[in-house]
Amino acid sequence: MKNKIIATFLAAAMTASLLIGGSMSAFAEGSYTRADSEGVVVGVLADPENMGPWSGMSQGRIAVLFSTYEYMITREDGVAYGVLAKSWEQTDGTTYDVEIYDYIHDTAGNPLTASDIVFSFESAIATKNYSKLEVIESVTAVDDYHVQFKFNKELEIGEFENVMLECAIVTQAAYEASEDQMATTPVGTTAYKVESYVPGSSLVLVDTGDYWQTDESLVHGTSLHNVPKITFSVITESSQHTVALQTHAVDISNGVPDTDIDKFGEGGEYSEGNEVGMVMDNLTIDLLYNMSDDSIFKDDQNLRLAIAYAIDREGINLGTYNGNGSAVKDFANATYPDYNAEWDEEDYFDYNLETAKEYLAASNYDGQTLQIQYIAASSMDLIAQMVQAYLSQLGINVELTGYDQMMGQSMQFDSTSYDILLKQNGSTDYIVNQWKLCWDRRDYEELTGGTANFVQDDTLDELMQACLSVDTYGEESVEAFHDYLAEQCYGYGLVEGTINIVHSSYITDVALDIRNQILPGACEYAE
Amino acid sequence: MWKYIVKRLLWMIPVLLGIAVVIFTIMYFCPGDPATAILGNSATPAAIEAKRIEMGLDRPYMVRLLEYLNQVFLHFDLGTSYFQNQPVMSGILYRMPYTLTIAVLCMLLQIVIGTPLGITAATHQNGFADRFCMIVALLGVSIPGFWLAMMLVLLFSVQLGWLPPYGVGGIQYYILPCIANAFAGIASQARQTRSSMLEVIRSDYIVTARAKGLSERDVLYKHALPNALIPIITVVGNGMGMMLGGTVVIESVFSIPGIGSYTTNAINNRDYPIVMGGVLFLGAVFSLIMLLVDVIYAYVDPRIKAQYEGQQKSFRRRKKANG
Repeated sequence: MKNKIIATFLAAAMTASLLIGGSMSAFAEGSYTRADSEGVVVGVLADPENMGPWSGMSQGRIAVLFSTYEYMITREDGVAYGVLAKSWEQTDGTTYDVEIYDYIHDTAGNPLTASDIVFSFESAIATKNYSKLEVIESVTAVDDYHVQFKFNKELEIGEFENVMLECAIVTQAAYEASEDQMATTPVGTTAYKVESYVPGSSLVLVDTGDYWQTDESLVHGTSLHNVPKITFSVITESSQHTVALQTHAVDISNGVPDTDIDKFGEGGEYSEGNEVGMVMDNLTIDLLYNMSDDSIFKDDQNLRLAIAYAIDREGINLGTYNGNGSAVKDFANATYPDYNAEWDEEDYFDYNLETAKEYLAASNYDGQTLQIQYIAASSMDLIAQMVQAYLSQLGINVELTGYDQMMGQSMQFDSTSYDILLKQNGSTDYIVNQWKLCWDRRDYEELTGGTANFVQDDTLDELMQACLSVDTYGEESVEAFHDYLAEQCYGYGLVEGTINIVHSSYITDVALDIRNQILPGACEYAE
Repeated sequence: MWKYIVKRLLWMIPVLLGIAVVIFTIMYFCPGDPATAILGNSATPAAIEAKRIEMGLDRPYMVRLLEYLNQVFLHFDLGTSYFQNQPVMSGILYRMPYTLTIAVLCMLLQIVIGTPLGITAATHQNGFADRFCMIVALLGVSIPGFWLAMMLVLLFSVQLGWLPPYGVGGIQYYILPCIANAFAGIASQARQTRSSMLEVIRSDYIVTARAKGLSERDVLYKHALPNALIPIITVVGNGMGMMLGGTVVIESVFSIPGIGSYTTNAINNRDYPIVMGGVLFLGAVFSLIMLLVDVIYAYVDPRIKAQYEGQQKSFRRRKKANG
C-alpha cells in the first residue's frame, strides 16, 4: 500500500511538472504568433559575454552592439549620417572638427558632452582592441559640444567614417558609476536600457521612453526604437534556432542552418506565420593562390588561369546557396557603392573547361597534389568540396584542410601550409577596403614579405595605394586595380552568399546593421 | 579515516598541478591566439602583434607557465578572462549551479533507474526482463547524447509542445537535458549492477539466506545488494565524472549557460584563462568525487575501512620500529 501511494505521488509529480513545462508561451495574434506579447524575441548564436563599450569583438557582442550603444555616425547604403555628431568637417590634411548635438543624454540621464567623446575615444584607444583607432593622434574637446580629432597621417578613403563608427560612446559619469565597466549593464545613449541579463542565456532591453533625439527626421536605422522590449535569446546550437522558430519561442533569427531555410519559405512545412528574408552577404568567398617563392603558382600564371577557368562559380552558387547567392565578377561583390556594374558583363574567368585545359597544358603542373585550406563552416566545406571536384575534372589532385576560425587565421600566413586558400572577405564601406584586406602590402609585409598571400608586385602595390588615397581614389583607379588583378590572377572572387533571416509574420520589415546583424529596434512590426 | 582523507586531499595538489601543466601546454601550443579573436578579421598583423605583446602572449613558454602556476596555486587566482574582462573564478561560480544541477539530477536518474534495471536483469537472468533491460542498456551506451537530445527536442518540444527546447528557467528546462545526458550513465549503471548482482547471488551466503527461509526481497536487498555495491559505487563515481564531462555537449545543445558551454565558447575564442580555469575546476571536482567514492567504500564495506586504518597502523608500527 505504501509503495502504491509513493508511486501515485511520483506519477502525479511528473505529470504536473510536464504540464508546467508545457507552458511554452507564444501569443497568437491574427495570422501570426508572437513569442512575447510585449516585444520581440531575437535568437542569437552567441552570448555577448562582455557588453562593455570597448571590449574585444565577438559574435555575440556584435549582435547586440547597436541596440546598446550609439556611435558618432551611422552608415546606411554607403552613406554616412550623424547620430551623436551633428556635423563634421576636415580643417586640414590631418584634422577634423566634429560638432555634437547639445541635448544628448544617456539612459541613466547623464548629459553627454565633448569631454565624454574624448573620454570614450581615449579609453577605446587604451584597450588596443580597435586597430582602426590607431590613426588617431589626439582627441580634444574644443568646448562642450565641439571635438577636434588629429590623426597621425592623411586618412584614406572611408577611413574617417570607419574611425567614427569604431568607438561606442558613453558618458564618463555612467562608466565610472558602473561596477563592472558596463560588462553586464551597459548604459549607452540608445533608446534602450538593460532590464535583465542572464549571462549565456538572455539579454532583455526595454525602451526608456526618454530617447534624447526627439527630432524624428534625425533618427536613423541604428537609433530607431519601434518595439518597446527586445529580448536577445542565446541559442548556441544552430538547429535549435529552427526549433525555436517552429515553436514560436523566438520571433526572428539569422542562425537557422541553410538546410532548414526552405522549411520556412513559401510552401514549406513551417511557413505558417513565418517568413524568410534573404539579403546578399557583404562577405565574398575568394580564392587566393599561394604566391610565395617556393609555391608552384609563383611563376606559373597559366596554372593560376587554368584553375580559375575550371571552377564553375555559378555551379558553386547553385550547390551552396540554392542559386540565391551570386557568382561574383571581382575580388569583391556588387553590394559596394563603388562597384562598377559594367564588370557584370565582362568575362571574369567564366567557366570554360576547354580553356582551362589549354592553360593547364601550357603550365608546369606535373600531377602533384595541391592543398586547399579554408576555415571550416557548413558553406565553406561545401564550396571547398565543389572546388575539389571541379579541379579533379581538370586533372588536378586536391586535398582539403579545414581549420577552425582561430587556427585558420594563423595558418594563412604560413607559406608551407597551403597552395590555395579559400577565404571570406568583406568590408562595411567601399570595395577598395575589401581589396585592402588582402592586397595592401603595408599591412602584411612583415609577415609575408608581400600581400596576404605573399604577392610581391610593385605595380599591384601602386594601384592599391592609388585606390586607398583620397586624392587618387576614383573610377579610374578602381578600374585599373580590378583589371590588373584579373589579368595577373593572383586570386579572384568566387561567390557571394546570402544571409537568411527567418522571422515571424509579426515582423513586416527586417532591418540590418552594417555588419548584417538584426536591428530589432529598426524592424517594422504589424499593428 | 580522517588522516586518510587528509592524505588524499594532499595528493590532489600534484594531480591538479599536473592538470594545470598539461592544459597550459596544450593551450600554449594550440594554433590561433586570442589577440586575433579580440581584434576581429580586419585587424592587420601588426595590430595583432601589438595586442599579443600587450597581453603578454609573446613571452616564453616557461615564463608564462611558472607565472600561471604561481597565480593559481600560490594566489588561488584562476586569472581574468580576455574577452569578459572578469575573474574566471566568478564566471565559474556563476555558472556552477547550472552544471551541478544537471550533473546531480543525471546522477539521481542513473541511480534511481539504472540500479533497479540491473537488479531486475540479474534476478531474471536470460528471461524477457533481462533481455529487455540489456537492450535498453545497449541503446544507452550506443546512442550519442547529442543525437538523443535532438530527438527528444523534436518529440517533446516540437511535436508535443510539452517542454521547452532550450534555455534556463524552472525545473522543466532541465528535463530534456538530464534525460539526454543521463541515458548513457543509466545504461552503464544497469550493466554494472547486473554483473555485480549475478556474481553475488551465486555466493554461498545467498544460498544460506534462502535456505533460512528469508523472503526473496530480503535476500536481494539485505544480503545481495550491499555486497554488490562496491563496483556499483565505482560506476556511480565515474558516472558523475561522465555527467560533468557530458554537460559540455548538453549545455551547448540546450543553450544552458553552465561551465561546459562557458569552456567550449572559450576554446573557440582561445580565451585561455577560462579554458584552463574550467578544466582545472572540473578536475578538482572530479578528484573530490573520487575521494568521496573512496570514503563511501569504507562506510559500505568494513573490510575496506579496516584496510585504510590498517595501513595507518602498519605505517605507525614501521615508524616506531625504525625508531
